[in-house]
Amino acid sequence: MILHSLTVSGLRCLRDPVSLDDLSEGVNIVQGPNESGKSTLVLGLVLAFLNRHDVSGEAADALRPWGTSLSPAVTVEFTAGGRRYRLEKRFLDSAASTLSEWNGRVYSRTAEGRFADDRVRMMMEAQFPARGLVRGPKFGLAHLLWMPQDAERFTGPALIPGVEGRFRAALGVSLLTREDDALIKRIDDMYGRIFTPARGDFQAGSDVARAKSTLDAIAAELDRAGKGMEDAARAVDELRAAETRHREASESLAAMKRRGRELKAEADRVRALKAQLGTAQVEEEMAARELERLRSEHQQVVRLTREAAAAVEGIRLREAALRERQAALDGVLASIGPRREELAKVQEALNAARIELRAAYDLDRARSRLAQVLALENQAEEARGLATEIRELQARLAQRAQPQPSDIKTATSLESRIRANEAQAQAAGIKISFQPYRETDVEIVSGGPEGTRRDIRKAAPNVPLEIEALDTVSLDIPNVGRLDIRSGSGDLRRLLDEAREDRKKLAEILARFGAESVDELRQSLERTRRQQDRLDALKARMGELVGAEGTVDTLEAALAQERAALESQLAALRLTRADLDASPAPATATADLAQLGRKVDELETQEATLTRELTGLAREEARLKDEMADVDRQVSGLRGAEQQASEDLSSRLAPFGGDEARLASALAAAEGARNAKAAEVERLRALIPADAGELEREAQRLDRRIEELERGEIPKLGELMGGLKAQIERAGSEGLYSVAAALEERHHLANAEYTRALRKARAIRVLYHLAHERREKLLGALAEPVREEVTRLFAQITANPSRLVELGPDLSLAGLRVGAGGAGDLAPLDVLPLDVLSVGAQEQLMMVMRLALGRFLGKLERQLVVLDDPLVNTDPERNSRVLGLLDAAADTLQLLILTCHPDRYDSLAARRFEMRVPGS
Amino acid sequence: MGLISFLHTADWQIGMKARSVARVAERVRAARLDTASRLMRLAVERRVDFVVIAGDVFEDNLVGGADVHKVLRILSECAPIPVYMLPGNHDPLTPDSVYNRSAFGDSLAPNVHVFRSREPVSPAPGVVLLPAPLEAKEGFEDPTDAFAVASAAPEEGVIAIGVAHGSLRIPNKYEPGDFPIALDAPERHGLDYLALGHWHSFYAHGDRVVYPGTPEPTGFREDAGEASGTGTAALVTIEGRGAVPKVERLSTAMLQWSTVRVDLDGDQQDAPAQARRRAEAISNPDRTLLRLVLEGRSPSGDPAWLDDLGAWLEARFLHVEVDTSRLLTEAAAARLRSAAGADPFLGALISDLETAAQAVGPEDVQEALRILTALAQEVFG
Repeated sequence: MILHSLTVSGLRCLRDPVSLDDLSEGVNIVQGPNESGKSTLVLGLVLAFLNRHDVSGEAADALRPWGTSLSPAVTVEFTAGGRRYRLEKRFLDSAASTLSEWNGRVYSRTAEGRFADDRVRMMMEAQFPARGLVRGPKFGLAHLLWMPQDAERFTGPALIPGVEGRFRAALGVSLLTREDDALIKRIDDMYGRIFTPARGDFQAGSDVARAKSTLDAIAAELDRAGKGMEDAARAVDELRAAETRHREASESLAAMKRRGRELKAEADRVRALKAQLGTAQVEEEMAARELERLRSEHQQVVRLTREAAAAVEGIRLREAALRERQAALDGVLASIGPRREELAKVQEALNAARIELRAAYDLDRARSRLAQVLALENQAEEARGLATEIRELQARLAQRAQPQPSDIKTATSLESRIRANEAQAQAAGIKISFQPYRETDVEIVSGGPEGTRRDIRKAAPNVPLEIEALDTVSLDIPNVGRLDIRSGSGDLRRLLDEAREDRKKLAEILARFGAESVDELRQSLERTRRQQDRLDALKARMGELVGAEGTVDTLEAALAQERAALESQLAALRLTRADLDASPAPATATADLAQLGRKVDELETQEATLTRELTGLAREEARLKDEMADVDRQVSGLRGAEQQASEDLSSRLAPFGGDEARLASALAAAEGARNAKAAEVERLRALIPADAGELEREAQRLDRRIEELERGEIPKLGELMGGLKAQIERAGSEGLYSVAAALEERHHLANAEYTRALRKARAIRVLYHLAHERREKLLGALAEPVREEVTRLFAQITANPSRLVELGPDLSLAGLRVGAGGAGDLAPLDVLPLDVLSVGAQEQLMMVMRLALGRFLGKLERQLVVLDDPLVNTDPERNSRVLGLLDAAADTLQLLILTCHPDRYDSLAARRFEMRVPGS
Repeated sequence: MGLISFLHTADWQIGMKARSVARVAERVRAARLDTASRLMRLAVERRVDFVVIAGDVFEDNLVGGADVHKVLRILSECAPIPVYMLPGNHDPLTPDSVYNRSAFGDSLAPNVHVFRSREPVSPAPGVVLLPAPLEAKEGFEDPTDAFAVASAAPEEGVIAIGVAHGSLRIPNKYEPGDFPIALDAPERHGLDYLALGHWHSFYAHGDRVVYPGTPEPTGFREDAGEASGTGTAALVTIEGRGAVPKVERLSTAMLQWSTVRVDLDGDQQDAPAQARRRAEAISNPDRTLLRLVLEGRSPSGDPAWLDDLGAWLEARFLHVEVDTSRLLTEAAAARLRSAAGADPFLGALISDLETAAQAVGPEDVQEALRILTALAQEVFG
């Protein structure tokens, strides 16, 4: 289908009719600024081709121009299926639809109202909605071929059932018949009755689920019956085991009772022997205690005898020691008196020597102070002289400006440059050789750096006058005239100017320091330097005299302070300065002072020695006295011990008549009695069996075990057996086997039903999946050539052949394969979503989708492709490639491009329509 | 007493489950009780001196109480002829033995006896029964070994009859835990007759050892009749001590378990009718459990004829089981492909199903093809 003309009025911003007439079969560009109504024209197309004329509702009312009651009206002339039509539609008020066909001369009406709407709808393979305006996929061919500008701009087109037929016809691909669709529908219905749509689980009400539920219920009952039978079988086993245990326990009880009686008789015999043993052990213990007592007494007697003898010997030895220490003490006391007298003498001599030494030392210090005062007086006098000379020198240096080395350097440099420039000027200057015919005076007026100079020189025929000048010279020749000569050299003038300027600068420097020449300036600098050196030397000497921070005044102050200190010392010595001057020479005084010092040292050494000796003697005296007191105390203790031992000995031997031999005899008798009792105990022990205790314990254990059996285990086993028998009886009365048998049979039937239903369900599932897989394969065959075409066109725009466009079976854009190799080298995961592309690339892809789809649909008939500002985000380089594509596409497609960027399509051959903002 | 006669039966298996014929399981169980009644009537009619049931009267010790009472009522019907029941491996004398139930207490009919020990019992003057009741479901010892003590000194002229339950030690015919019985047990113990139970088919070993077989078959493998040896009992007559027993084999089955094989090769159009004719030849279809095995090549065309045949048989027989596992049928896919004609989608879908057979299993694919056939018929006509 292609358009020939379009007229729209009363639609949104287009109040008045706007027409696109004589549209080209190739490229048509509708250009205009924003809000000029370009997209409203597309809306007019949508209304005309894809909506009922009597559409109503809020969305339809919003189609009127804002604030008016105008009704939208659209008239379209187009060719479809080889026939030319005119469609006139009016919406809302007085809604109408008329389709007329061109018969070669005029349009004749072929359908009206809804019939006209339906005819056009079928041409577009579109679908009308139940109410409201048509949207998206229901656009039919327009959904595939028209690229909108709004939010759906990046939504790829997808195939819908109505358009498949067109593609089948266009591509020659075998697709699904209506019968196939019906078959798939029935399979879907069957599948839907059995399986849930989301996860493919069984529907709760499906035959399978019901059969499974029944089966599970029976299985649960069967399981309970089986458990009951297992419990009964277990009860039988337990009953058998309990009966065995009961029998064994009864037999064991009888055996234990027999053994108990035997143990009792044996225990009685052992108990009697143990009683005898106990008596014998008591008697043995008593004999042993008596023996032990006598042994202890004997040992005490022996010990006391030894202690008394040891005390006597100790007293003797300590008394001898006391005598030795008394003699030593006497010797010490004799040595202390003479040494104390000698010490008093030495201390007296030492005091006298110290007084003499003090007097000599004070005199020596006064003498030193006097020498210091004299030295300060000399320094003060010199410092005063130096201060006077420094002031005079500083005054001289301050009288006039003194040249610095930099001044000398500048002046020397200027003088050298002046000379060089003048020498060059001289060399480049004017040279005249004048040889007159007769002698004559010539007045020469020449200019130079130092000003104009006049000379009168003589010239003769044989004495030519040689004249050299710089840039000008005048010769006044009597009777001849005045000859002015000027040099035209620019270099010469520059040299002279520079020399003149330098001379001026040099004169300024010399004038500043009052010099006539540069040499005089140098002499002035040398003189200044000498005076400055002298000043520095004087200041250094002054620094030495008064110190770094000092002045003459501080020096004078120090002198006064020293003088006062000297006067004070002299007063203490009761001398005058004259007396001090008259005292012995310092060297002599120093020798006396040293001699006195040595004398004091010697006396102090003697005093210390004597003091140490006296201290040692006092300590020795104290030590000897302490030792003697200690020995005295020991002697007293030993005497007490000796007395105590003698008394104890007498006391202990008293029972034996004071005779130690009688004590020894009693001890031997007690030992014999104890040994006899011990032999009796051993004899009785030998009669008692070694495991007598174990017999007792065994008898006790046996009693406990018998009691346990009689009161615990056997009655419990009886109870257990009774319970188990009752349980078995119940199982029998319930007829569990018969119950289980009936359940097994029901389970068998239910399982057969479940198996049948399950098999049918599996079969339907297989059928469902295979049918849909097959359907997708068939649709895939349709998608492949479109995919290749889209990929080819996209690669042409991007100049990147490594990206392959992926389409779904319904031709929807599935993604992009990116890789160096072909599609076969890439894994499914390499398919990237479209949003990885830039916005520009996305809009280019959406556009080439339309061109590719149009190319296939156009095989049957030229198709209209509407592109509403498709290249908003496309860069200039790709834009130019896109124009190439559009140009080529126009061979088989009618393109209607709406844009507010007409410059982007300048190079595209197209019929152009200009739109203006309404009211402007 | 000289000549004696008695009814020897065994393996009633009252209360047995019938899972393979679950729909008629109750009927099958009821038939066993009917057969028991018939046996008691035979005992009365033939004026036997006593009845011996050599084990497994009950299928299990935990059978329902109703079955127990029904059996005891049936046994009491032949009073005063004494009936002796031997606990077998299905109903051994274990703590949960059915014979310990109160029904076997004081209210037990006077002519009904249970062998609870190996003590010899005299059912009639000049006759002694040597029982070997089982006390477990499984045993490796010969139960007749106990006869050695019991029959150590049989009285002069007294007919000695051993009653036991187990398998004769015939190679390949017994399991070690099946209470194996020595083949020379009668000679070893001086028995005139050894009444055995356990094998469900009638079997006689020599002149004095007999298995009477179960009186009612328990499945298709035990078809009643001479050839199969089930559905029988033994009427034994012994003229005196040492005489060779005379054993009459009685047919006792109430139900028939018939397997009919029909070869459908030949006239394809007549195949369904042929199967019907074979079924019609069976007598007492209302008491017959029929397994129809169809062999050969299935008739082409609509496979629904099998459903029709099944319905026709079920209307006549107690139970019908049609086995088509040996029937060669035209591949459903081929039929469907033929019906699909030139529709590429349907043709491709059939191929997809055939390919999927290896992955999802041929049964599911066959079912899918069956469903697809029905759907295709609706859609494509």
